[in-house]
Amino acid sequence: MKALLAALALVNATVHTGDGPPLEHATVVIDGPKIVAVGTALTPPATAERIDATGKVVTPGLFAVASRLGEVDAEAEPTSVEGTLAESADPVRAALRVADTYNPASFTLPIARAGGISEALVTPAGGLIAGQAALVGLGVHDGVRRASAALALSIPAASGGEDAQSPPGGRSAAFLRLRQVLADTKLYRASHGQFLDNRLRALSVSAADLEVLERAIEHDLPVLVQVDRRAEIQSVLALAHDYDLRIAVVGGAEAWQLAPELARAHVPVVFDPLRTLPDSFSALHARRDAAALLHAAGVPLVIAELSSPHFAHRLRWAAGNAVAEGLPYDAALAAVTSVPAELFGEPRSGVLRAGAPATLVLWNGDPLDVTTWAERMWVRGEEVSLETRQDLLTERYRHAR
Amino acid sequence: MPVTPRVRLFLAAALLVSCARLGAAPKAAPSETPPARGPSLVLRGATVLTAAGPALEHADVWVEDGRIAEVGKAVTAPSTVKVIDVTGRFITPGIIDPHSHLGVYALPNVATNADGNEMTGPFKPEVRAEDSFWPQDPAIERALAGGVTTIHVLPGSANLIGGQGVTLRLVPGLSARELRFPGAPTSMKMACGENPMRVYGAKGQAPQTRMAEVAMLRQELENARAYKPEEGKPHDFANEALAGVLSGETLIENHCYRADEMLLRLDVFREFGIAPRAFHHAVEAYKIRDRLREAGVGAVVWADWWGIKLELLDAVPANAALLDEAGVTVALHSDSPDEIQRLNQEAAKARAAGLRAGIAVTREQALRWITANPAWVLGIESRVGTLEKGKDADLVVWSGDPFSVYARAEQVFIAGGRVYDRARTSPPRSDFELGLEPAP
Repeated sequence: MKALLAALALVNATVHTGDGPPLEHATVVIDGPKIVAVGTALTPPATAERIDATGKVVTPGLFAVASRLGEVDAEAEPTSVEGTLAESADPVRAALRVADTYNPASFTLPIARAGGISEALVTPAGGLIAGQAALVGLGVHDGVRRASAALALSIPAASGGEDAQSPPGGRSAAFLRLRQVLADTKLYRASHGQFLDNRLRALSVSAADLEVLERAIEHDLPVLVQVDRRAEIQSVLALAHDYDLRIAVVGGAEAWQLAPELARAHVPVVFDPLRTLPDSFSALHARRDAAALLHAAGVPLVIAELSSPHFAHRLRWAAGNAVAEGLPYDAALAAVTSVPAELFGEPRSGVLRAGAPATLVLWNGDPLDVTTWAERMWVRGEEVSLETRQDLLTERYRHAR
Repeated sequence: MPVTPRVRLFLAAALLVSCARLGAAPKAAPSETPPARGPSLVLRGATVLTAAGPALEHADVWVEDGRIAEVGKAVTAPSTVKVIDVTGRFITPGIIDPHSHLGVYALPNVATNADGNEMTGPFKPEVRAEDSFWPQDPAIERALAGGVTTIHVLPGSANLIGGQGVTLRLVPGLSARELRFPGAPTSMKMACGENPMRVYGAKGQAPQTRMAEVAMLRQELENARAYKPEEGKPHDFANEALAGVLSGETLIENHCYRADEMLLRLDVFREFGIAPRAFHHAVEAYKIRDRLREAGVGAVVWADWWGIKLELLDAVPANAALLDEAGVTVALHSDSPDEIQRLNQEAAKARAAGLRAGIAVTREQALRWITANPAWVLGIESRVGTLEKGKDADLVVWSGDPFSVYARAEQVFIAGGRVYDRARTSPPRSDFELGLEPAP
């Protein structure tokens, strides 16, 4: 079969495969949407276009988890924000899908691409059960790849500075409602017929929500639980056990204190190494080396930039700072590529190996350092421009003085 | 440029009208405690980035009586002076953050710690950040661990005139006065754009528009210009604080994002014969960089913040590089307890963005964005910001090249006294965190 795109060989690069140690003076050959070969003793096909990558680094495209990319243009402008509902709305909204409003033309996406991000698990925000996350690709003519990729849930920290109007009991209310919702889902699942015949007791959740929640308790839909404090992480683990939920902890400021339990339960932690302050009563035991501690205990570690979709490009620096605080380099790179791809992405993605999607980034140096930048990126074999509106503004004003 | 002596504002105002033979103004706050000076020492064998010239390899820094006695190769200090071997390490001046809300928006981030915006009126020149500053903020020691030795604490940006800022050294102390940088000028925080409109517009109060912001500021400055204390009447501390602004004694630190608004502010200030020391945030400063240079106004910017509000949409990461290239005094700031821990990385990021855009920025220039230039923005450049003989011995020993994500501050000195040592596990400085450390 003839490839849609010409074969391409990146030659003499330092190649981080995403799931192992780096290969020096290595070659990556891509043909069409796939990688056909990766190795140190490779002769690329004569027909392949060669790119000399001497002194440069190749990695898989980076994967942004629990991001709000494509849902926001300017956070302070409500009319530019989707994937969330007004404060007054029902906090249980499992049927809400960010896929319905994900905007591949959002201002946020080119900046993320320039940061080497090729895939994202875009999550909704707000409420208790915020809705369904979507798996998206940042390639050309790309967008939502899986509309219902995870269910997002949040145990509130009841914090928030001068705007805070949170009443006490935010965490208690969350668990109370969550138990009601899960009990109703279990009942619904056991009594579909009666529900449809209107012979079931009143349920606290809408039919549309129940259909989604049922998938969560059937292990069909991973559940991302945003939770920081040790006590609540423990309660979430118990709940996940009771209802057989496949969960991942997001945030997890104090998750390092439960590292052995999390490792035993194979519960991944989506952690932001740039967010390590005791900034709420749920994070008083936050520490800078938490990523290293989680990894050392065997917890599946995903590194994420959790502050704002405008800072999605900082993902690689989040990983770099985790390395500076003791996380092994290869684990940090895996935490932004192969680990999230395996948990939330497409099969065989997030790695550089024959047969994997040709989704990769060419960097002018160490991608986790603050001194480098992405030079080129391919998503499923197609090169995507890394030029941003910021570049255009810089160019316009550079010479117009 | 000489440091403007720090004079209490109402004293300055009283001087202006001294011929009126008014009663003495209320007594000024007690003077600052001079910072404790550390023992004499020599840091030997490091790569020294002085922020005043090229890097010195295998060089020494000799600290005597809290000041820098000598910087260079094989300095000859008396044999009694303690020598610390820092071979393979890097030394820089202490980092200076010219825009921080540490202590006035202390951690944890709860409503009762939100102490930086007096949102009860758009003009609050009489309030002082130092009177809100909580020295037990757990963020302070984390900033120190990032190599920060001096911060300028400002009120927030809800108000057109938000109050007075204060320059602090991150030494231990029980009130802001004990941290105050001796002799540093006071600043006046001003703000344009979305924040005052959002805060007061939402309450149905003025200003609701940018035109009202300009009109109200102009009137406020005019009222202050016309104010004269009268015998037998109480002093008006708001107007007397503004007298310091009009005399140039108090530095205007002006939160402003858009190019058009910065230009309008320059016009308004010009009517009163004044100019801001620097525009802060200034994400569009690159669009007007020649005008800023001509006006002698600095720019205090981020490396890569953008887009969170509409007025940040045109932010570019090459802002600092473009400004520096045009000859504007540019400094980086954190405005955040998160980023204040990594200002060295912010400088590296802003430099890389410049290089990517084809602007040649040296490591020495980028270092000045977090040391010498913020010192100028705060009017303390004769004391700190570079490693030169006679300057205060505020310095950081880094584990490696500070322009790398992997470098960590290992030792931090203020006035020659060691205030942070990464190798030593010590109890938290903040009383709030005492006893919180969990068993490993």
